[in-house]
Amino acid sequence: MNLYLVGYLINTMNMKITRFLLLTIVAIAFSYLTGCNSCSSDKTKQIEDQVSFDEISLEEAVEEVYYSLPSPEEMIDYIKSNDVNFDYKLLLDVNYADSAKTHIEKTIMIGAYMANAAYVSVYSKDEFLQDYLLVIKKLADDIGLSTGLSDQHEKIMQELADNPQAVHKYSKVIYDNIINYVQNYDDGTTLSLIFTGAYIESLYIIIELHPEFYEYKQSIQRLVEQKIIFDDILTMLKSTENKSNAHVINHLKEINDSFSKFELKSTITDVKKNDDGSMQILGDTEVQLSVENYNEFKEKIYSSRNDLISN
Amino acid sequence: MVYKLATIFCITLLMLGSFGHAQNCENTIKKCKNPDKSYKVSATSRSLKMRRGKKSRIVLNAYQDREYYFSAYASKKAGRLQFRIIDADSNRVIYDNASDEMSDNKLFTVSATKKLYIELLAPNWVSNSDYECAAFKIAYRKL
Repeated sequence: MNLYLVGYLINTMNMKITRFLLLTIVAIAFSYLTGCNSCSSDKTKQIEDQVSFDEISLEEAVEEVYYSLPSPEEMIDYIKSNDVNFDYKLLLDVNYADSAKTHIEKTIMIGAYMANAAYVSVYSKDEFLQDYLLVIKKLADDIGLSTGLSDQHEKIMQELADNPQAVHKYSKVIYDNIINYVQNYDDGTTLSLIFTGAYIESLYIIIELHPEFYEYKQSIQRLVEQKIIFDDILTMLKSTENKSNAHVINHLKEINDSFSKFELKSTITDVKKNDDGSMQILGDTEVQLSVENYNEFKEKIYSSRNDLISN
Repeated sequence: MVYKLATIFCITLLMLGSFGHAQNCENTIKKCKNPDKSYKVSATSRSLKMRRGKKSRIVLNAYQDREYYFSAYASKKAGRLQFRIIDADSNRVIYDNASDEMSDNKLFTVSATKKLYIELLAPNWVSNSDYECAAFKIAYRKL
């Protein structure tokens, strides 16, 4: 009787285990097939999915737009005349950071301090850089942006004490990490506000470095070329427009209007292929410069900076 | 009891199968080719998710007298990426890697500051997922 019962139980268990194994195999096979990319059903799909630029040339087919804007360091380095010297009086006081209370104000200030870090980097004035890095890091921590360096704070401070030149490395690392972080985890609002602060402050520094219109005409032309970047920042910010950033957008629109008076025109005249496979894009830039327009532009930058950054 | 457990196990497997493609693309940029050390890599280089049949557009504000390095990468399932460099004002196509054996990188100089579009497309998509990981890298140096 006991043996019969044991036999019955084993038989029942075997059936259940068999069912279990069968179901498992079916599940794994289904899962594999739906994830498979080299199987025949996908080869059919590949043919269906062949697309070309011409087929999807409509604007709606652009899934996402990524803005590759120059960093403040790249911008200041590009515009500044070799004849102008560093002026420490232009530097934004790190204590202004305390006056930033809201998320938007702090985000714009991060950009403004990035511009100052860029300015001192371009002139290799390392003694100012560390304070800017610390204030950028503090503001970033306040609004929950990762600089990617929080857990290494003491190590970095030690490295900077031992080797002051390392401050350049961390200047780039902090800028890159913040930009990467907001690109990956933000809807574009934070990035456009950081760029707003960075570019208004960069333009302010450049204007102050080149006060004489006739003496620095080439640098002023390069400054006017920055309109193409402002167009992008304005587009980015408008796409996330809401009540809290409306006043920032108004400032950018006014700056953009001042920019427009210069009548910037840039055209590609030829494209050449070099023997090594690289390419030359040749072109011309025409800008209608006038002292009046430059003075008006300067005033607009001063008033926007006073309202958004140094107030 | 065993049967119930087996059912739960199978459902879990099925769920894992369907979520298998919810991948994180964050580190894809590390797979882009690098220029030599004389170039500075732009912080706006990034990883992205490419969607089936969709273009991604990069707006590049290229400065006068700079040399730019552009490279693109996509997972095997997305296939080799096609990219075009376009004059943003005239929409004229300046370069198309389809006529360059689908090269995954390009070096170019700009003699006048210019807004360019670089459009990415995955024309040989073999994935049955809606998106696949991709990345682009932009670097520059003064001439």
